[in-house]
Amino acid sequence: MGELLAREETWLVRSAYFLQYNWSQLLSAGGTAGGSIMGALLGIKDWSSPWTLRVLWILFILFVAAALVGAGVTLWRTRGWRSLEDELEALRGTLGEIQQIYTELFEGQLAIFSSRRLGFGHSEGISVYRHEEEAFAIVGRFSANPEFSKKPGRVYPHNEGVIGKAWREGNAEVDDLPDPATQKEEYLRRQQEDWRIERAVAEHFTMESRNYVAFALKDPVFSQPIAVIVFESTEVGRLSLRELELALTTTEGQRIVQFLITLRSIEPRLTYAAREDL
Amino acid sequence: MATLGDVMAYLCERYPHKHELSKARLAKLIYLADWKSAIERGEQMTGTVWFYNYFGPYVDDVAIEAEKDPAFKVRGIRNLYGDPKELIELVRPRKYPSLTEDDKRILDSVIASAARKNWNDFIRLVYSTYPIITQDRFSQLDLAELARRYAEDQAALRT
Repeated sequence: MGELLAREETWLVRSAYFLQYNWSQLLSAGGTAGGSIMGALLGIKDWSSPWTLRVLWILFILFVAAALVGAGVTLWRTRGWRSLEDELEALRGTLGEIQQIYTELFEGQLAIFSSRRLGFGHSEGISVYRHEEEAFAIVGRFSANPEFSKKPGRVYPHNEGVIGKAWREGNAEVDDLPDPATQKEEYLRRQQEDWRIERAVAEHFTMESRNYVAFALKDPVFSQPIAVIVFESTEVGRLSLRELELALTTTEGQRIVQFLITLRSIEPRLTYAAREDL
Repeated sequence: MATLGDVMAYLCERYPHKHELSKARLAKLIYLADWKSAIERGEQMTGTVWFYNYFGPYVDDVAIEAEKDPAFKVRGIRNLYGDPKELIELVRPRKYPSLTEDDKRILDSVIASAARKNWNDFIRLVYSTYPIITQDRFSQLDLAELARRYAEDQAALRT
């Protein structure tokens, strides 16, 4: 019974919407058809009854009037639709402008999280990577130190580094990497042996961090990982996995996840360009 | 290497929605052609030096060429909100002697990709290319070098 009611409601609602959007066209079509029939009846036969003739003429006039009103309203409404289409095009343009500052908007969220919630200084940074097929591409990065805000300049394979481990296992942590200023070789060896990061890649790190904590950011509805957030510091002992995990549950932390979900449809993605062989 | 004027003329003539060809859109179409050429042939189609400025890949050369070459006309219009916008139009028939058949194939492919996209999808396409994803704003984009790195990254992902 409930199912039947639901179906009837859907049918009624759909009919109401159809009438709401198409009543003027229906009026115009009905008026034209009725007027044609009345006109034909008046023309093909010489009606002897004055009452019948009068009714036919009245109906003819009413149908013609309905056709004219329907056509007029349709024209007026169509003009309105055209202006709505123009508005829609303008909104698409605005969306395009937002698209162009997507990274700035996102990095603004990271900046708020970094300074207001975490109190990060010039030795720390936050990066967010989106998983794209077999790789991680950067979505945004922030550090109070402009040198550490520079993008990595490439994408990372999905099985490398703390990013790969956090994606697979939910989180990852390392707090004992050697100081690259004094033990560069050992630093590169650990990156390669422990974290599978090729020497050629590690040599070009814009931020040579010794302390990393990373988490998979999950869609709150489906609990599926959508990206990885990496906290890093060039000093050891600066980052706590437990504190950062708690920080991610705060308003500022949740805004980062929400931003990624809400603006997913305009987020730049390598796969979007790859589909066009670009 | 194709001249910028020839590439602009080809795009202005072949692009189906002439009313969309603003300076910004034309510059980004040329960027896409240069990027596709760098991916497929290891070098840009034009000699343009690309910068990633506040509004993505942009160069003044396109506007300068349009002002300099009498085959083009720059027409100022206003959008719905009254903001000024400049369209670039091809007003005289022009040949493209520097374009090879392969250049034209790449340009046709870029036109086909871009023409079916509204402005925000088109911008998303430009911002989704490897140079813009991986490089910093206000940096110079060496598309040939970035295409090589893109190929390396893709090869690393397959191993």
